[in-house]
Amino acid sequence: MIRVADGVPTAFVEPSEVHGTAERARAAGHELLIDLTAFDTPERASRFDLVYLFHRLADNARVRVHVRVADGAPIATVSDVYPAADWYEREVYDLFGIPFRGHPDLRRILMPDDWVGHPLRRDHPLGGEVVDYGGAGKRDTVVPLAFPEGTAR
Amino acid sequence: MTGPTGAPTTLPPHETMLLNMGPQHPSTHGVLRLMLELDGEVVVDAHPDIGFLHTGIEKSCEYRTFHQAITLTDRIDYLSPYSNNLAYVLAVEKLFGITAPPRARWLRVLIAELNRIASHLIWLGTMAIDLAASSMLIYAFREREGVLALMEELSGVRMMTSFIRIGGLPADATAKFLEGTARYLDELPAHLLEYDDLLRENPIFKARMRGIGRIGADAALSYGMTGPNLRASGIAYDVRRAVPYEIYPELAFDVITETAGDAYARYLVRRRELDESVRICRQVLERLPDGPIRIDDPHVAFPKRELIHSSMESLIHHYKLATEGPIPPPGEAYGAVESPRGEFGVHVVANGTNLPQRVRFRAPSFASLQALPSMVRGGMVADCIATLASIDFVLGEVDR
Repeated sequence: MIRVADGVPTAFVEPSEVHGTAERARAAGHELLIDLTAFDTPERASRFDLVYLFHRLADNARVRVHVRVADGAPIATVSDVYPAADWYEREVYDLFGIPFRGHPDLRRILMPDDWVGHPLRRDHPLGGEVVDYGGAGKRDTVVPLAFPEGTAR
Repeated sequence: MTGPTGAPTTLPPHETMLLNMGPQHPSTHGVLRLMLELDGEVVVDAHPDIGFLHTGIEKSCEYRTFHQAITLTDRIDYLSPYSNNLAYVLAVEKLFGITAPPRARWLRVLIAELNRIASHLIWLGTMAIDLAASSMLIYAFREREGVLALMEELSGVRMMTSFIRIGGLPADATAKFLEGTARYLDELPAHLLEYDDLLRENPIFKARMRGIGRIGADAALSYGMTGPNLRASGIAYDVRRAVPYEIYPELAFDVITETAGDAYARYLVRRRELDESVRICRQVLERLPDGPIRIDDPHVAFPKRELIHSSMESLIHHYKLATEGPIPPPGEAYGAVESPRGEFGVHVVANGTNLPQRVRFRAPSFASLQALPSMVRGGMVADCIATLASIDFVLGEVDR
């Protein structure tokens, strides 16, 4: 389990419980879905951590929910409970490739529609060009970057 | 149906038209593409298309040390670099478990509020020019220039200042900066009253803004709206009060709310927030404590500049911090500030190395823009422009 350094109460739930957890948070008066994001730890079998942050206006209480999902495993959308999740989930889908089951309009949102791969995965290269400066007397060569998904951009 | 002459009295069923607004449209303030589905002049539906300004800042942060990423945060919401710096640094400071010394915390609030004044002034000017009130733009930019001059005196840079560091500030505020700020705060309120004369009761302005782009409190909350847009719908949610950071609990200021939830209410909220920011800045100037501006922890914060030339230890620490960077213990932390546009949050995940595993920027404009279709549906095309202007979004932070 990750160390929570900011003191926000954090719950770690199973992927199947996400929708129920969101419904309970909404029923408990958490009106705002402040944030929904993810991060990638490719060394792990369930490589993605989805992070939800809820806020309740009455007492300014915050709750964070962590969910670990494997690559390609769909996870239930919460956009029917929190409409704000619509774009957040599209962003997570776009940048990490996590599919959301039941999302009304799961398309890329930030990257171009024809982009191959999901750039915020840790194994997706930063981009740019690797320059091999060669040695004395040799001309600099530019080595094209090998993208793991088989595209060069 | 036919009339007495045999001519049809109702139109046959007709199709709607798709109008493409942007991404190169001056009223979209950057590169927002808006697909409008129109029935004559009436907007049936709107589909915002974002991502044209996506520069991969979150990805780039994963390849920078925790210090280097500060300069990237300026470029997210380029109208409020201090808020971005502060949110990021607050998150990293939580990872380290440190807090900046008192003087730094007061100065951070001072520059964040000056930044809010500058940002709201830009919004005031650009919103007015979207409604064809072009003189307002000139006046607003004149006053904003005063803030930029102060920033230049403080940091040497007018806009992308990166003036907040992990554990404090890079340098102390000069006497010239503090005097200039006091003078600026004396002059600004009179100018703001002039702008009220120009806009507040202007019948054309009110006709364009009142009842336009209305959104109710429940809808605004469900879309995750924060900041002035949410407060104009009657919800007194302000990160400075709700989840206080730095020295805001010690300051007297009001959370401005309106109830109408329309473009005019959003104008009123931001206009009155300018007054509150002036009030906060004055309190900071009066009560600014003396003391160090950076914590004395060589593993996190840079040593004093003078020491680098005389102390071997300090030189080594400086070298280590500049090359390898500070290394926080593994964990995650979320830091948030009330930026001029709402809750700007930064979620940092550290994995025990000198580079962050993940830096996530929660941008208030992203959530506000998501609510746009529900605000423009049923209105006119021209009202769409007024609504866009009143939301005060910055594409730099929408797309990151």
